Amino acid sequence: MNDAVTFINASVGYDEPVVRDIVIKVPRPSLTTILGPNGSGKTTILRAIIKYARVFGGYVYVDGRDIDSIPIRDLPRYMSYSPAEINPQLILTVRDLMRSARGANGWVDDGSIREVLEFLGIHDLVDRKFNELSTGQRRLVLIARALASGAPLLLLDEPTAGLDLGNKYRVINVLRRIVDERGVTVIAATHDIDLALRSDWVVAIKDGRLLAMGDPINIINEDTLSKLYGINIKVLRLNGRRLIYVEQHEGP
Amino acid sequence: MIGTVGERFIKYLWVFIPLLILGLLLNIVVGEVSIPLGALLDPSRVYRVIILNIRLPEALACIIVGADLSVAGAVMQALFRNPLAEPYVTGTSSGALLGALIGLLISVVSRHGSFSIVLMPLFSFVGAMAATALVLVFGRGGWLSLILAGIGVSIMLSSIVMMLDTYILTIMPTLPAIVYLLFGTVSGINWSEVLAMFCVTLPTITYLILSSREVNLLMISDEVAQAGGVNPGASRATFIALTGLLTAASVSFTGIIGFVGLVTPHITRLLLKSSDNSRVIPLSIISGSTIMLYANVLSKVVVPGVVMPITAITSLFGVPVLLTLLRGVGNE
Repeated sequence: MNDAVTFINASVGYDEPVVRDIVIKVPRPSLTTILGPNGSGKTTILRAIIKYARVFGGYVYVDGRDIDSIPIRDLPRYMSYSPAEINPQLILTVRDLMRSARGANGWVDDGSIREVLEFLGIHDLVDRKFNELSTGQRRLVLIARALASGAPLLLLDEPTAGLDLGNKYRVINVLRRIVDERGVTVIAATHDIDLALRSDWVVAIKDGRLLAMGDPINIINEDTLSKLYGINIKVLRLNGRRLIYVEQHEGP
Repeated sequence: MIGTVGERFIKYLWVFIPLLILGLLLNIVVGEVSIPLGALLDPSRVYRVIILNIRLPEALACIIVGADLSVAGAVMQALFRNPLAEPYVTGTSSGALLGALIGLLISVVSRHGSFSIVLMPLFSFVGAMAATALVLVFGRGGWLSLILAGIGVSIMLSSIVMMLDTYILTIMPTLPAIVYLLFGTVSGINWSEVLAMFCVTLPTITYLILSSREVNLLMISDEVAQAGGVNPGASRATFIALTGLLTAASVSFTGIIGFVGLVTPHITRLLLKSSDNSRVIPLSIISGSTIMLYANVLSKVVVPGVVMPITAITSLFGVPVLLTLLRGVGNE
């Protein structure tokens, strides 16, 4: 079976490459996290997959197909994209958002909207205005919208950013269920090491280059994390779980 | 929850359609000469001339202009993700007016006055696009900057219009069309003008309704639209051109009519409790037409025997809505 996404020596960016000469493979199905500090090129990698960033060199494949050969019109058959946050200026209900989830492929009917929202346990929000929801609810709705697309690949930008601990784990559990129960591949660009620890595959990016890629057991270690973030990070093991902490010197 | 969006859509269609028909009747009977309702069944020759040559084309113009401006406003608000966007506020109307005057001038100077019915909308469209492009270049700073750029461009274009207008009136003192255009009114409109407006409006609005899913995607974000199969740059450019076409169609023959494009889509979204454009655009056609019909009746009865510019009426009611929306902006 083809990998969900493959980058082969790809350089991608906008006016000039942000990410250079990168090799990535995303197994299918998997919960894959793209981990990296601010400005490392995480979002650019997601945007390359939706053809919103330019490929300067190398190749980007989705489901074994070169994205250059996929017209924009056909993108929703392959993937759905969800930003971390949207800021609608007009009355926009959860149902309005869900209805357009399949993009150019057609409307999502009320039955499918209900099914997806119930799967995520948020059907009570269906007629609420998006702007009036809490950050955690908004994040779940955006994930539900991606899932309602029916696409085999969901691209999520910062799905846990700005969430409190409870909401963060609610989102992480939802993402796990989407992958485990629906066989959908989720790629999340994130800062969140807790999300990376619960994922199947980690791609670590620093300064537009691939630092490491693989199973979180092999990637989430002191050496890689310290290199990734440029600070001294310790990983403790407790009851078979990993705990991350930052070694701080006293004083300023 | 009281009903779905679809049910509310049907419900308000049933509310607006009788209001629209009543508004149409009022427009036919109210005016300098009032026509008794009973006379409509068997009108005398004089009444028949008034109805067929004056009242009916004016009323139909109201309906078309109301639809044009409301749909243009609804689509612009979605495309720019800006609740204040509409042809008047974004300077599109001023560009359309300047273009229409240039078209009129060319047809008069070339001694082919009858060409004006084609040249005015054509140049009006070019003017609308040029003004919108200018506003988009200077109004990139988001939210209010778009509106400020629109006001700036409007003032600049209006002063050019004033000069051009003074010049035309000096060399051609018998050209009444100019005066109508400056004031924003449907009075004096004739059948061929109504037909021209209709021919532009029908295909444009039909296309926009069929594209409402794409408009919905652009309303969310460019990346979401792209992953949804819609090229955001190309689609936005197409839709902006279509709103320019709608603006040109109405401004060429009725002048600038402010705030209908702002108010109608907001009222419609509030009624539907939704911004799904597959419902907002069709209902805005009906609600906008209805609003225009009643504004026109008001313009004829505020001071008996005097027809006020219709834009004075729409602005009077529209500005409070704009100010209310501005208060919301401050809270963001």
